[in-house]
Amino acid sequence: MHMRERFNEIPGTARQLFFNQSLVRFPQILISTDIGEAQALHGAIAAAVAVMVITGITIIRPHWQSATWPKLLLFVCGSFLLSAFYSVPPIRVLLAAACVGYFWPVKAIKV
Amino acid sequence: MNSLVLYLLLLKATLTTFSGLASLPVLREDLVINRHALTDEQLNVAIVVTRSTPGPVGLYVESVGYFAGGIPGAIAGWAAMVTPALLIIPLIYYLGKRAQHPRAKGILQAVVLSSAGLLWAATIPIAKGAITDPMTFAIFLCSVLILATRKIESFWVIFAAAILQLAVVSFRMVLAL
Repeated sequence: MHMRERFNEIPGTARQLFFNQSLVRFPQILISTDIGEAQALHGAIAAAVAVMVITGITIIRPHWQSATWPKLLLFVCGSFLLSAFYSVPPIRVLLAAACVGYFWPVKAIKV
Repeated sequence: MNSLVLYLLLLKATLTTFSGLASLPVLREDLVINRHALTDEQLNVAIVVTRSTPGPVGLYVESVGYFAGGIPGAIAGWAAMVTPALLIIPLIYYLGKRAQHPRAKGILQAVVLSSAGLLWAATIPIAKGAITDPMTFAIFLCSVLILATRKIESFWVIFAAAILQLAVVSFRMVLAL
């Protein structure tokens, strides 16, 4: 069996615990700025930020067809601005979005 | 941190969002900003750990739980991750066709679109700690381009970024000697 397939057989929860414990047990990987491991982690973290940016696009993508441009811009940019510049808690932003969404129903796509 | 409180906080994040990393802004607000149970760097490392291993993206909640409360915290994270999945069964039974109502769809769409905006907003402070020099900025840009244009698992991008950074630093160290 391929090594990656074997790795996939281990429950994700156990894998997470193992990796987290490894990081806690060898904190120099996180703290030290001199050794190579720390630098490797910095590179990985920069790539993880890219993953977050792309995840945002992945979340929006299924709605490109059903949502109109004003709707897309209002909810995405509005929530971004409220959170980033006005420090509105995310739950309040989501609640406000849900309220607006109630009065802005999705139109059925005619086949 | 109390495991029950941690579970409830994590559950709040997983219940109010609809996909993997979309819960990140809510988690950051509760655990990093309000309760100081976690740092931005730990949150970022939790994502790196999750994306460096196979499995669902939402599994990062467990890593977050671990960093906030050790093994009991990880168990709380796991429980918070599976609770919405279990709740969906009675929810589908009772809501049934109502979920297809245009207004229900409108609410769902609004929340999902907003969670993307919130995710980008939460990325800014995390990026400030992660992108600190031209090298990490280049890695970030290249990773965005590769992930946007190629169908490649994020694991490989993160792995390649780590190796690249390590190689560049090693090269600099050799030059300095």
